[in-house]
Amino acid sequence: MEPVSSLSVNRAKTKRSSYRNELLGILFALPAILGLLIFTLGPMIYSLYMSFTDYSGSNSPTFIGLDNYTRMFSGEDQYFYKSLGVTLYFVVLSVPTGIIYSFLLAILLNRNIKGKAIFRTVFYLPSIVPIIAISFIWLWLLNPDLGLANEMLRAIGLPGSQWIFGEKSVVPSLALMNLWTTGGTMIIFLAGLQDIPRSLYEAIEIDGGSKLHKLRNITIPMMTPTIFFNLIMGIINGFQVFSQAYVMTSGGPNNASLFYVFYLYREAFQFSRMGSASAIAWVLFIIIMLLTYMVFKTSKKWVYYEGDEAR
Amino acid sequence: MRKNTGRTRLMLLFLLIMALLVTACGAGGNNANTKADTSQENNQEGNSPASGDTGTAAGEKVKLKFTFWGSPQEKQAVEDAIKAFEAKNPNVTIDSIHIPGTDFLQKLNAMIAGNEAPDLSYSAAWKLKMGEEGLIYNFFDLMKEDPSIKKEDYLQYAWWNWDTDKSAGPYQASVVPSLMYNADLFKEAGVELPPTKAEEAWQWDEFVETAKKLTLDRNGKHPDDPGFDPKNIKQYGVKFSLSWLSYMPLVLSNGGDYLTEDGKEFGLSKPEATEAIQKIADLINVYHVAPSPVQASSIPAPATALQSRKVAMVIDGSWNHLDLSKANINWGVGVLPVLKDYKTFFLGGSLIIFKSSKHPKEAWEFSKFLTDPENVLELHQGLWMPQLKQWYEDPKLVDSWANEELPGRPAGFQDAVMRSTYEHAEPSAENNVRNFVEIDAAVTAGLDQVWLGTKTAAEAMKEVEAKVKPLVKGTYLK
Repeated sequence: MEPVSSLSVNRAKTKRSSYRNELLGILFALPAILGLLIFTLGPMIYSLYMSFTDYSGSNSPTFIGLDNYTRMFSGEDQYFYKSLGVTLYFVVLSVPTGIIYSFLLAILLNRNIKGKAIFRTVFYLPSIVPIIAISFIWLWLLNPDLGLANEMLRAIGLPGSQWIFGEKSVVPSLALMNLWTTGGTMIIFLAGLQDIPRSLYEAIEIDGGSKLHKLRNITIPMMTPTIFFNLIMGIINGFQVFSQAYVMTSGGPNNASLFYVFYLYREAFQFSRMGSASAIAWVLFIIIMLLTYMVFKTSKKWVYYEGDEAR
Repeated sequence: MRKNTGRTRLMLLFLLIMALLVTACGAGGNNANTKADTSQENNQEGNSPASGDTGTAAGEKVKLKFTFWGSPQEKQAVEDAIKAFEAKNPNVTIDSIHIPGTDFLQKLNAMIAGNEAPDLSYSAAWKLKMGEEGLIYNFFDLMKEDPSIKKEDYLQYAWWNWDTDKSAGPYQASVVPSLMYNADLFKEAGVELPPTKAEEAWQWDEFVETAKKLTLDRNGKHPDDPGFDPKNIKQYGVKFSLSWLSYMPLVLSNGGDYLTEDGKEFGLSKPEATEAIQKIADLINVYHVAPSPVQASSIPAPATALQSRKVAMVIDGSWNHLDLSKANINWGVGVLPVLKDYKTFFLGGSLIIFKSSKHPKEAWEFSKFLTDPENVLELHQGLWMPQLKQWYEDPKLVDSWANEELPGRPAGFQDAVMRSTYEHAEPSAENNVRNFVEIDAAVTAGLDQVWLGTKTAAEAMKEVEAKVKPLVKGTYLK
């Protein structure tokens, strides 16, 4: 950065320094740019190519056109629609509950209570535990015979559940477990809450509004950008759910938790069909893109940005 | 002017970096290509390495890359065998790479894609695809060139073939489905120990009765006692592993099979098979003598389960004998229960030799060495069983691996495990049914419902039949 000495800096000099800056900027960003090109974009393009081939991971790929895709969409591969349905169900259950839960938690932790820091740490803690470890913990918590969950239900006189061992209860169980790991979302909400100017709340207090008014008219509208961000991230992460199925259920019982990415994994590493697995991955990519685009489209109607009064 | 130099410089810098990168990648690619080309030529010249055309002259230094998996104990034994081989063949060094089982195929595929394929490797069912793709040697071709070994030396069904005359090799060692038990629990219940001779095998009803006597709820009651609490069972009579390994012997015993006899139809949905599967499910849901998948999830691995008195009998793979011999427990083995005839099978992995190997002759010699029980005898005294007929027929050889004084071989082993399997072996589904891995995935999902008691075996298998129809393509035997 060249210090700007006076107003009489001539245009050429400004230009020159701006190119220098441009160059420096690109140079500094180069590792990231190259990383993206070599480690992300390159493999992505290659996998797109592979999705049109018959490739087992060890042979040389042979071009087969759209066969991998027709196999999926025609239902010839019986697991495609099944896994898509299971994953959608998980997303529909886990995303709204996750957002509401972590939002409420953030509001509670934003209050001036004793031991605020401790509570925040405690609720955030699960999200730094690796998902594999979490899966094992919950495997025990949700054990229908010995698990804490059923133990507690029985203590208050309710019948227990089969949890992850029941075809109907497995996805809701995993969505429930997902709530436990929403510490990251909660932290983002917490940061958002602290950005809301006090003055707005004071205005409501002067007008004699209740706490509910504050929540409905200030907190929620001011938080819509944060909610929007968390919604998008939630959808993306929800579609990519894998480890729980891999560790806890192996996709069972009877494929009731055959999540899309687990299905992809199985196709690639158990059935040795890398080509088809690439096609599956690309379909997921497009699904996530479309959904994200749709959420973006609707965002104009409900997301409020400060200083954007035209809306 | 200045403006232009700035931009040009930027462009140049970019170009330079890209050029460096591209050449770096390109160079690597070229090398790899040349390597691949030469190895292909080699293969075309002499398609069988043992012919001597491509074999390396004696005395020349040869390095073989060998990938394998296995427990720490197996790793140690294999490494010892490698040392013994190297001592015998001073010109050969073996670069062994131990890869944990779960990542194995992934790593191997990466090595193949990077033209770094090993010379030989352990392998599971995926090897058949590699065979179809021409990546590995046909064992039958290799064997033709070597008079020291013949197909008849091996157990009849010990082959992993990808076509009737194309083989990815015989088992490098075998294992079998086995009934293991904790003898103390039998004594306490006053029940006679399981029979060890196939002719005296329990009929199903006797088996169920025995299992009932060995099942206890938390009040010490048996399933037939009034007030028995099936929700709080402390000790189960028997635990099946619930994989094909455990239900197939019973299906075979009842006259069923994985596919129908002509290989054209799915066999597990036929009455003989569903009847057998239903019997196992009834142990769980009707008689409460075996744990369901839910209950089994809190039961540890077989050896620990028997030791900690969670179960009295286990039907699972014979590789558990090794762990049992290390646990401080009074254990034994019996023959499997039957429905009609005594039928069972051997199963196992095989060693594959890659066509990209520059030293196929040495690789072949090493594979022979490692599959000879003599050289990994320690593993054959607890973990594995031989795959060569001679080791079941020559009393001296039998004594070396199946002597019941060995810690890994309990009393009755020779009758209950060795002879009963050797004399009643059928082909195993895993290495004979085409598309087994995929069919098995559908079957396993369907069976989930049977074990949980939400569907009968007949209903669930009927549904699976429709799903696997396009995958049923017969066996490799015909």
